[in-house]
Amino acid sequence: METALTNESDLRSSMEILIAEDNEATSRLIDKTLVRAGFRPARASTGAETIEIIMRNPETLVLLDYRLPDMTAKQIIYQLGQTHSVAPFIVMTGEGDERIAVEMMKLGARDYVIKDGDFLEFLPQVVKRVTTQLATEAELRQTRAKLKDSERILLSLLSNLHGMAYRGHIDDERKMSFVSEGSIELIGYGPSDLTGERSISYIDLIHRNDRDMVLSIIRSAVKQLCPFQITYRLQCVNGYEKWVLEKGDGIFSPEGEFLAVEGFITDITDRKKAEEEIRRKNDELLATQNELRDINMHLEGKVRERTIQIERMLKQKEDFISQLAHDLRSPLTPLVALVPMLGKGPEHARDGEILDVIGRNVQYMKNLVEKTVQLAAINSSKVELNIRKVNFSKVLADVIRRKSHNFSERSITIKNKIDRKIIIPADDLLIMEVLDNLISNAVKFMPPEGGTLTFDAQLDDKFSTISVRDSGIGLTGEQASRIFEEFYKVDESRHELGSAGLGLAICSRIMKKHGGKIWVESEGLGKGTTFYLSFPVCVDQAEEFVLSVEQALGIRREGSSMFVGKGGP
Amino acid sequence: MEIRTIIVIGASTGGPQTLSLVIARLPVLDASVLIVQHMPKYINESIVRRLAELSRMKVKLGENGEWLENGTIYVAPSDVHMKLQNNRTIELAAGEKINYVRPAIDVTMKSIQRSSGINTIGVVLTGMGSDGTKGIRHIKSLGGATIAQNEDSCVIYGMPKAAVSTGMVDFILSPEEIGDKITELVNCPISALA
Amino acid sequence: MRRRVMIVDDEPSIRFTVQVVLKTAGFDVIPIESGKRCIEELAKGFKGVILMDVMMQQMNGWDTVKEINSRGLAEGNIISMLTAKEFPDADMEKLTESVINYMKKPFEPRDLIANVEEYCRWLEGPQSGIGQQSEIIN
Repeated sequence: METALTNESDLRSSMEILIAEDNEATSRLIDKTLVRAGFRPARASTGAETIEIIMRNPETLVLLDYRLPDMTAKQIIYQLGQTHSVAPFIVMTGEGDERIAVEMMKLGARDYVIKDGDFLEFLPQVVKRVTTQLATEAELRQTRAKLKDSERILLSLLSNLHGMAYRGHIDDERKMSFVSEGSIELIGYGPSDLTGERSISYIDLIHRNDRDMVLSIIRSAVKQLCPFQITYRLQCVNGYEKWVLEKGDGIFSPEGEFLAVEGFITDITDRKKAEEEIRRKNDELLATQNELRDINMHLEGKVRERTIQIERMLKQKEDFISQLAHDLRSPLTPLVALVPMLGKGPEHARDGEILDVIGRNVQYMKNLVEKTVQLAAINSSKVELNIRKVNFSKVLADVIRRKSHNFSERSITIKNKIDRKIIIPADDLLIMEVLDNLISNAVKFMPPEGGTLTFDAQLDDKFSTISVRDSGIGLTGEQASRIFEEFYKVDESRHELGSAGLGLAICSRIMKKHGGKIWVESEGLGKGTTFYLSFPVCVDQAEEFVLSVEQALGIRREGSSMFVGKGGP
Repeated sequence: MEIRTIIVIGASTGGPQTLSLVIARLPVLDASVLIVQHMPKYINESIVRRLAELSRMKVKLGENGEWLENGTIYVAPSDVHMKLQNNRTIELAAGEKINYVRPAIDVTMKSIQRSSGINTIGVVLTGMGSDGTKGIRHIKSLGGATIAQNEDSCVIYGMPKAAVSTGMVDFILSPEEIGDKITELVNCPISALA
Repeated sequence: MRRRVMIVDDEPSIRFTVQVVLKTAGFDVIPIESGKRCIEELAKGFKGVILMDVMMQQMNGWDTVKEINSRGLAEGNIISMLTAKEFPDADMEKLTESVINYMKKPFEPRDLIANVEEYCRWLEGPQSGIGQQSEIIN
């Protein structure tokens, strides 16, 4: 045992020595001897005196004569023993009393001295030896006390920590040799349940799926002489699962032999739960972000669509205006250039001709303006459709009569094959407009020798379709695909014939307003053209259509016009 | 040191009548005027003649090797590019059409070399396309003055528009104003006003 | 020297108008209704001012100019476009040197007359009497 021993002499001087000897001379001799050896003894001559001094100073080393006048050494020891003040003593006996000396040794004497001739010579040695022994013992006692104190503090700390400290083996059961009080809070079992003979195997407390992992990590850490840290699940007494964090290290003997693992286990269930919660919230957040991004993209898509739509509409408007301006320039030219010429100069004689030309161009411009206004009106969303029961055949006959001069000049025959019984609910004025335009077109594109224009009708349960077939010059594929465009003139240069290029655009609009369609077919140039108009109701439903609209609007028809909501294609 | 002024006027469709208006405004200038007009060959002489009628200055078709003189207008002949050598001598160079034309305004303007001895004025009049744009940039880089015809008076506002879009045109004017501005600048060059 | 003007336009009103206006100013006006007919007249030896409409059926004004060039019929003529189109198409740039002007419809009669007068002056040779005055006027 290594202790930082202080100077031997200090020890000696701090040690009390009592010479309990009734022989005055001997006592003095012993005293002298000891003083010479560096001690400072006290003296007593009776048992009572001895007891008294020792009671006061229990640390005193007593050189005890075996027989004192009032008591034997034995008696003195007994008495001291009862009051727990057992002082260390060295017994002194007379010559030949070895038997007594041995007996006293049995009673706890540190040593014995036989008062023979040269005992004084050996006495200091003996005393020194004993005092040293005593000092060592004292030191040992101190150290033990400190150790005990440390242990106490440690245990106290351990019992206050949230977690379980342990020392154990790395066998398949993970047998524990020490477990702190924290095990109760952690697992629900106390140290006594987890250590000792009939202890619960710690391994059994670990979640089935984690056992192998835990053992293998600990064993490999021990093998590599490094500490370990494991997160795993425990099964508690009440059946709940806990997440724990175990930190530990192997401890080895100075020779490197594995002794045990020591470590600390804490409950991290809350932390784990919190982590889980964060992860979940994170996922939710991510999902929400993704949703937002999708919505954003969708919105952007919509905005892009709408912007394209708007730009297209604006461009259409621009094109319309530009085209209109252009188309007005040509007829304006004769006006601007010729009006100043009227009534002047050498060409005065041609005034009549000039007025003719001017007149024709003015008519053309008038036509253009009218059709433009008509188109704009039809394009606007507030349109009054005067729905009547239109007898198609009759309306057609009226239109033909009005335009008869166009045909007679051109030797054109009209065939009206539409059944007189066919009734179509429509706006009769607009329908006349459509027929007017179709007939004008057909006449325009008749060859000079004339031809035939045939009107017919076909009905199915969904549509009433009117067809207008001519034996005229026909259309190419490109012409057919563009013919309903605003300002499109199949024959670009034929302004003189009064075509504004808007007629069919207007027809298209009118048909759309009625919820119907108009389209054209031609087998090619020279093979004639057929226009088709389809209205989306059949004959039988004519009355129903009118009535249902009335009902929808809660309006009673009073004979003239009836508003049909916001008509629109 | 003698400082000379070189003026290059470029024009295309609608140019001749515009040139008439501009040239008629000019007095005898202390400068050499080079005119590049995109036109068919067979009216070269006619244009020269017409401008000569209107102008107080001498008007002629540029000739190869000709020395530039003040108070004279040189009209670029068709089918060649008219360049300047050392800012002094006319060179009629063969070459590919540039911007579909020959003579090209850019070629003439860009042939002017940097020199402290000359002032330059570049003018772009009516026409299609963008001939003259690079020339205007070049003249500006020489520290010269640049003029473009305004949209209202243009038959076709193509070339002047392209020139203006460089941001390097000093004045945008009508033909009469252009004539006056040229006169002003010859007497008071821009660089002198800096 | 007679001053001859050809008006090439498929619209009768335009042909009529130009005729009336220019005849007043003493020009000889030949009305032509298509690019094809224009080429025919040039081949027959027409020399003078040509006013060319752009938008014509079959052969438009620009194509007619190209055809005139390729047949070498341009010499002795001055061509000005006369059109309702605001701005020439981009690929018309190639014909810059072939066309002296781009007149727009509608036009004031006096502007038409002035322009055609100018074109005629350019067509006239020195023998017209308007000589090298420049040297004198210095």
